[in-house]
Amino acid sequence: MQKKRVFPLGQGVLYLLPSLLLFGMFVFYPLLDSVKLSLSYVDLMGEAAGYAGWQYYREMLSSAQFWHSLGATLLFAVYTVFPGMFLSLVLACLANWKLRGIGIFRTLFAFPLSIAVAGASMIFMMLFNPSTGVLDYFLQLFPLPAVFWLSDPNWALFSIAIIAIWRSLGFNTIVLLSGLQSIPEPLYESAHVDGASPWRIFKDITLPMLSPTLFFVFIVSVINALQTFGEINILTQGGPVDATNVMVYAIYRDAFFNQNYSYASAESIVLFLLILGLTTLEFWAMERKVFYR
Amino acid sequence: MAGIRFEQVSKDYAGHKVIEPFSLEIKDGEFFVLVGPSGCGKTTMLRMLAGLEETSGGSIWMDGADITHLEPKDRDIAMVFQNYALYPHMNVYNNMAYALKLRGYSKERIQDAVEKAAVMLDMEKLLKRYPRELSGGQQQRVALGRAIVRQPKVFLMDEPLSNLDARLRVQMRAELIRLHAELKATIVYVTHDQVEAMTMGSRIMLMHNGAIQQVGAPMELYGEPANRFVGGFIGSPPMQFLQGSLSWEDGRGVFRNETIKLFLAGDCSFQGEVCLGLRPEHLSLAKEGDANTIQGTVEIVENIGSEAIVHFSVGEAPLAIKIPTPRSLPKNGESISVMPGNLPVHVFNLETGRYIAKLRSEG
Repeated sequence: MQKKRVFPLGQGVLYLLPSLLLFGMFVFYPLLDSVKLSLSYVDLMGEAAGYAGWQYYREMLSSAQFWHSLGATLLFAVYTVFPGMFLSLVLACLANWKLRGIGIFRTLFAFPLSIAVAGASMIFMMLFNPSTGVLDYFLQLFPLPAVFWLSDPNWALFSIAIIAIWRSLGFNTIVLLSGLQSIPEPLYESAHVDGASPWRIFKDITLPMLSPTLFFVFIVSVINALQTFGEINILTQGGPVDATNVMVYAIYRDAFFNQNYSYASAESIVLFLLILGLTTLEFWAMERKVFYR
Repeated sequence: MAGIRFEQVSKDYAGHKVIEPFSLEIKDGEFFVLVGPSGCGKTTMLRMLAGLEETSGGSIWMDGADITHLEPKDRDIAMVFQNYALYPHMNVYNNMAYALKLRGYSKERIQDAVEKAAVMLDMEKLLKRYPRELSGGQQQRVALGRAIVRQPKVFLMDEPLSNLDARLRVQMRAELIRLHAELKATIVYVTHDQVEAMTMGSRIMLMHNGAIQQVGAPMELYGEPANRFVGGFIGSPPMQFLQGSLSWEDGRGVFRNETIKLFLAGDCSFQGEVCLGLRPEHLSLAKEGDANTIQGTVEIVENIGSEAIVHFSVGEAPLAIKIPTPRSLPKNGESISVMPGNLPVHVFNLETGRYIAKLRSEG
């Protein structure tokens, strides 16, 4: 009996080993090391050189810069998560129509998924260009004043959010579409016979049946929003006037420009706890409302 | 409650006719069963009546009104789906109340209707449960309850018992018969199971390859099958067939093929190639000295206690005989002698399969 139990366990660990190694090397070890660095004085080589206690955390919490970054990060999540989910839900519903050639649209909707962040950023840099960009051209047709998408501090975070939303559409649409397609057809027919209007069918059948998928997309979207880096690094470098200096970018700047490894580590631990806390909160608040079949 | 009339209704998919134009009248309060093998078009017909499927031609009338192009919700029908299609995120009460809520009924009225249906189906205790917490039979009841609370003019049921186990199916069959008597509603019921059709239907419509084969009371289809297909479909075990030629000599019918010669009596003038339909329950074991018998070799014996079915072959043709209260049964490989003994023998045209006459065997 004993032997029987031990063998599969060893076998299981063996199967897990490749991922455990990778995760250990690139996730768990850096995480633990960050905790250590955030509590230490660190030399220019990035080596811990003596215990510093909570000094860097205190410094961070009393820094206006940190609170600004935190605010920008949360604002960015608000800008991206709900509009992104809404748009991808609309696209997924459209793509769920049984029409001739719908496969072409499904592929198009998933397209953003295949474009790297650098490519997407370059495309949007051209679209956003105040003198040659298409977006301002359209605005002026109406005529509306031109917007300095990336160089106006009031607009920059919003503009980056547009890119992030566009980039998230592919993944979200695919996931939501697969969720939609797993809803059994007879449920719609039954609701139809029961006398439900298209809107009631969407509200009473589609949304509840899609809730686990929506919940999953929501969690992933929030985490992605809190960790956005590529677009900002390429297009605004945290500017203008720190408008897009979200936490991940602040961490990057503090660590690799200011060489303040301890401070950056402390920031990254706080970001980690923020994501962990938010995700836990989301689970606690929303899981009861999610219907799992 | 309402009568339904189909007028030259047909259905094609992509230029391919799946239902030949047909006309049909279903009377008010009738338990009307559409039966046939899978793919015969019976479910399509039901879905056209429900409004879930467009007709390709013809018109459908209910209570004297043309409903051909009405939305399902405007037809005053309720449908029970094969897999029940219960809303998994609503409890039993809300599943049943949903259609009434959509109609804007008051809370009290809804509660009253749901509770009444729950009592009728003996499931008052299940109202708070979710579909996933119910057994197949209970889910089936909820699906029925959902239809009953609507008090529709017509109930449509698409193979509602096919997902239940055999014992439960028998029980629900009786329950549906009782419900029909109680509600006095028009029910249009689709099934592939001829036993369900025979036991439940006021009238049956048998379909095959998108065409109506016969419409009538169960015993009409059993006793006077319009063609060979109907004969072979209705009855359990099904009618068995012998091919040969029929001729009339001195007022006696003579059926012949390579292996047998059978004398028949009756009123018929057809001569030529025919197919003889024999029901296993109309055959009996021959005693010594009996004339006009059929000789065969036993192949399989199915004994279910109250009766036994003995399958045997006559030349190439398989036949079967149903023996009530079996005591000593023939064994595999034994030769067997049976006789139709003054019981009905159905004659079908070999080429067209059409019914020619019902004769009796001599003896």
